[in-house]
Amino acid sequence: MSFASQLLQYTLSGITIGSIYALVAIGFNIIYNSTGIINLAQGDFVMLGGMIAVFFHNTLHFPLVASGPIAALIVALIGILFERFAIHPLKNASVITLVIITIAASILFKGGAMFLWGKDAYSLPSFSGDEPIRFLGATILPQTIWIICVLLFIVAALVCFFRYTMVGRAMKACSYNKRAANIVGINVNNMVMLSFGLSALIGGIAGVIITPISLIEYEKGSLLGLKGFGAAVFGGLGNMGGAVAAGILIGLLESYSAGLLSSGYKDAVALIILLLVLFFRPGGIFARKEVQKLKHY
Amino acid sequence: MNNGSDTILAAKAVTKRFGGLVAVSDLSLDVRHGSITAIIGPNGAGKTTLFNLISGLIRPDSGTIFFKGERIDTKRPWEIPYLGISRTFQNLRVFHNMNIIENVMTGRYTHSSGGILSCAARLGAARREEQKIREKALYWMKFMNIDGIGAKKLKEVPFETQRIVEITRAVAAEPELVLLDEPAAGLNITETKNLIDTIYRIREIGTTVLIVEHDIDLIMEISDHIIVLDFGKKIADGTAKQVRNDRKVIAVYLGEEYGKQ
Amino acid sequence: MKKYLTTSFSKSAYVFTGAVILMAIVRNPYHVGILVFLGMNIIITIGLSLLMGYAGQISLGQAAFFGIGAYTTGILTTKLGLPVAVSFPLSILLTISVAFVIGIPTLRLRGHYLAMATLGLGEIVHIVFNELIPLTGGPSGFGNIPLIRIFGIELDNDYKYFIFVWAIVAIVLFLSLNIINSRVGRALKAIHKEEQTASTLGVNTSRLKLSVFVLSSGFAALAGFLYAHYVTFLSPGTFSLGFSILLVTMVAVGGMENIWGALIGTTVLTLLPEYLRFFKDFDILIYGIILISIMILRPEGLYGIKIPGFLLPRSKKGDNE
Repeated sequence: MSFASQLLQYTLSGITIGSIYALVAIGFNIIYNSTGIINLAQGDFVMLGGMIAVFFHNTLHFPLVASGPIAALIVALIGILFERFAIHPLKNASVITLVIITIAASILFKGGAMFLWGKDAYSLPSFSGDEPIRFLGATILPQTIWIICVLLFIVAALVCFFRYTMVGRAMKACSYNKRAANIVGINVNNMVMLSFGLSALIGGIAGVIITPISLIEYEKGSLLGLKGFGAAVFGGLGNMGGAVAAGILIGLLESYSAGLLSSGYKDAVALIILLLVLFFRPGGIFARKEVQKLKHY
Repeated sequence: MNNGSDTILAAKAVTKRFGGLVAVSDLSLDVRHGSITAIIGPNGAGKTTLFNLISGLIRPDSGTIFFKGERIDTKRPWEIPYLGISRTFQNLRVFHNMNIIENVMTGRYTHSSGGILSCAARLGAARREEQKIREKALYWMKFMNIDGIGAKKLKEVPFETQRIVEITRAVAAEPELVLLDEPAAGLNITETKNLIDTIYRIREIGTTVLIVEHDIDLIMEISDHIIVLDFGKKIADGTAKQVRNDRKVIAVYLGEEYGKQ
Repeated sequence: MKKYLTTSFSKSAYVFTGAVILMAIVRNPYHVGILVFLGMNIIITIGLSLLMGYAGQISLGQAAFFGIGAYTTGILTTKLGLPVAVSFPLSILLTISVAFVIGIPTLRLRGHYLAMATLGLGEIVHIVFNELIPLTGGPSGFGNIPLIRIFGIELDNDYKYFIFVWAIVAIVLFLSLNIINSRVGRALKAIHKEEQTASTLGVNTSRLKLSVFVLSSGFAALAGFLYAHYVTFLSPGTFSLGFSILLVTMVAVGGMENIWGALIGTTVLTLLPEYLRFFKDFDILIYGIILISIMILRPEGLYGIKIPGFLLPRSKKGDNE
């Protein structure tokens, strides 16, 4: 393999994993925009999506085309229940209590997954075979194309949702000004619940599409969540477009550093970026006025 | 300074906007040393904003504020009390996670200096300092007639007393200027009378009092000097008598109560 | 005030005496060993309690500070052959320097950011422990860390080490109680309730938060030092994100608003899994259920629950930590 095609290979795998980070980052942003909460259990939604899909497909022998959507919907339901039972009852909770609640949820999801499925790692078959596609000397797994397409589809769907649907606009209104939204008759309560559902749904989908190329196990969520948060902060917390760009950028940097430097430190790359951004550009790299306007699409 | 050394606090052409709203507009004022000066005006006139500007919680968009000739509008909030300004809040900000004497003791923060390590070791100096803080807190509680309740929790005493605790905390800092933000809100007639007494006594020990208040009778009674704001602008400035007879004031603010007379 | 010195001092002395009596009752070296670990955990969670309950900030990186303390003394004493008396200050110094550097930028930001920044730092440190093989031995770790010798006595069994660790617990508790009942402690409580109001009283809030963050990292490093010279073997697994989260859980379960809450929570969550062996495989689930139930049903934590009131240390009049 020539160096150029090797580089292309790294780029492709970077975009693949970066798409997952982008989806996690979008999940962070949806909840952040509606509540100001950083949900530390976001990565665990991804883990749950993968695990539940595995359960339906491998254990109950549902077809893959049914297992994936069922898993994503169950995760969305889990997100809604989490909000109803853990976030909603806490009125006027301090930031520190909210952080701990989401940590608790994260521990609970991990513990539940370990209880149900043990410490083993699981996988799903690829959506459309494992026959690699040759492309300029590099190989693309069909699953990679699936992942990228799903990301694009979700981004497009979210743009339409927030721009053209009543519910989406109401959610957007809540993220700008809760009290004003309340005054014009939007049920802020429901919007918060919905944002958890939506965010969990996206996390669940990310879990379903990544499981065929990356084994899933009960602890997988923490690091995915942390890197996804890195992407969310890198792109500017609450900024959806920034999240996508930053997610893919982090995926690329990680993939290049794994290939060209050392695979052991690849996980540190996203985290070092996270810390540097927190230190020097806490508003994110795109935090200029004109981009801030694009914040909510 | 317009009035030379007589002026303790001076604002020069201060403007503060929040988004499209101009909360304080091109405002200039002088507070005389040793006076009780009141700021009145309808809701949204910019009174609390002015207090927040003076105490450094927000910064003006333009204009300057001087305290004893020193520019303070560029200082950080925690530097302001060291200069000799302390304040209370309209919505009563006391610390419910501490008992009453500890609340007052927080007022002595600027008069003590022990760092985290010396407080941890509590060797001679830190111990003496802690003792002095406690003695001073007791002294000021006595001054404010709330001695003997130091060990109580805030929720065990009535609202009025909680307000007095907040004022005691401000006075315990032994400031040269104290800002009282609606101290009479929620008090009944007797309680208000006690409050008036207290304010006089704070002034007697040489502290300048700047007060924001809705209770017009109280203001007219105690103030040496009244500044009237409306929509962030100063519309009148003078003694109680001058302000009471000012047409603009009668029109925009006092109209209902005093215009008829 | 003399009374206050005596109360902080006597409370710490009670804890030490109680621990020693407990050791005399327990005796079995395995269980004494668990109580040694309990002491180390308490040293970390007291610091975390100051940070969370008093300064209102959260750190998900205490395991990293614990680890930096442990690895520094471990590496200095085995690889460089330095005496423990030298490696001790260096391990604390290195840890608090790292905390200082990371604390400056993040403590200006909101609580969530500190949580995530410390989480990120924790993972990076964990990765470094795994990857810096020449120094750390990588995933399999390294051993032969020398024992501590103090006043000519080698701390070579669980009982001696128990006394040593719990004496340090008592010192840490004494220092922390002193802080709580001082101008700094009151300023911290003020920050926790009303940060803006605290600043109008003259509290430089960001500097004070940084001081407490650094102090809490120093306590974690101290525990790490004790751990290294007790177990004499270090591997990265001990210093994982899971342990950081467990530490936060201990403080939250016991009650953040009170330092005794940290002691209670740490004791419960350190001993519980040991005495409920059959939960071993599901410990994470149990922790999760405990934590989420407590945060929902009793966010102020176990401390101050009415029923076992006679078991709790009583506050004297006019004294309120």
